[in-house]
Amino acid sequence: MTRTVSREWVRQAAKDEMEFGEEIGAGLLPLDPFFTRERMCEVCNFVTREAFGYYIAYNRARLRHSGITYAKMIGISPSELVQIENDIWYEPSYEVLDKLATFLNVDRQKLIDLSGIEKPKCESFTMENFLRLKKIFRDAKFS
Amino acid sequence: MANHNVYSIVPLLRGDADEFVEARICKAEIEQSISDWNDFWFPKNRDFLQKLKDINKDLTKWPQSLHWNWESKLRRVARTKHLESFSIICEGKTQALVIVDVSRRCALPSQKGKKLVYIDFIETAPWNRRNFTLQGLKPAFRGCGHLLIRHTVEFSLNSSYEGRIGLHSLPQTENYYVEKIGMTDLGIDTDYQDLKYYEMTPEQSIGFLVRSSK
Repeated sequence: MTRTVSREWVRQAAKDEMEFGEEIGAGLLPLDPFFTRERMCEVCNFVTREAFGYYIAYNRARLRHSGITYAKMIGISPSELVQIENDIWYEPSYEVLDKLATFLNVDRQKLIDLSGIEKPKCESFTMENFLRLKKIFRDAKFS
Repeated sequence: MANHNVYSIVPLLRGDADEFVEARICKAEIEQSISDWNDFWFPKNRDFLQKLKDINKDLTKWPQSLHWNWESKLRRVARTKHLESFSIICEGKTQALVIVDVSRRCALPSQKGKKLVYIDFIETAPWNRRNFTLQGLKPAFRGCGHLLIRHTVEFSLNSSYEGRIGLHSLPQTENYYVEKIGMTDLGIDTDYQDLKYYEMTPEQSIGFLVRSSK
């Protein structure tokens, strides 16, 4: 059973939100564990981190490796590979990045830039590149 | 079109006129919500992000949820039993989304150990954000976040959780949950990115629901 929401209630809610002056949100902050309450977010880092995941997944699929096979090849656990490809909080080590670059035959520095472990963000990686990569990934329909 | 996942029909206030339109609050259709996020929310966020960078907007003023990837969040809901998601649908688009976790328990001493509905993530569509355009234009619809919090409270009441809800606030919103929603501030949670944690008791939930409805 749901109570009827009156127009007055909605009007008051709208007024409260507008008066408050900030965006309403609850949930996680972006850059755990580096994010501090004072520093606020640097969205570019999220973008490159997410692009990093797509980039790895795309190149792995391009070479027709399954996740399990590929994880074995580079000596990491399948769950770590899932993190690499899907978790924007995950920070790969240089050792893992080296292996990824070698087995995928991609540029090591590009992976380092995308992973965001050296710089807070990769200025050379634009939003357009990210969207293009995302679209390629989605269109490719890899399993 | 009949939809058994619709919980309620609510009035939604347009941002640029004192006019109400009908909206549905429903269990989020995962594929439709993902599609809306990809097709509508994401491009708007991208443009907004670019605008923020162009004008060198102070980082502290950037919406702290801009990075959220609802596609992966909603996929997680689909494969996790204790998560639920709800959305507000109006004019054919998803206007706001919330993910709740029904497996958590209260930390408030008076409610210690009782189950609550925990708001994992809540966000309104980019075009409903207060400062979205940075050009003084008004949001398309107002009060979406509030309505979803209200729905979460009702969901808690209807699911024998007696109206108890909890959430970790983004720093920008901290005072909002005490001042405007009437929740109790339990201080900084050092186990959760140092975000402040808030809970609503059954009494507070009734106060929240009846507020302004006189």
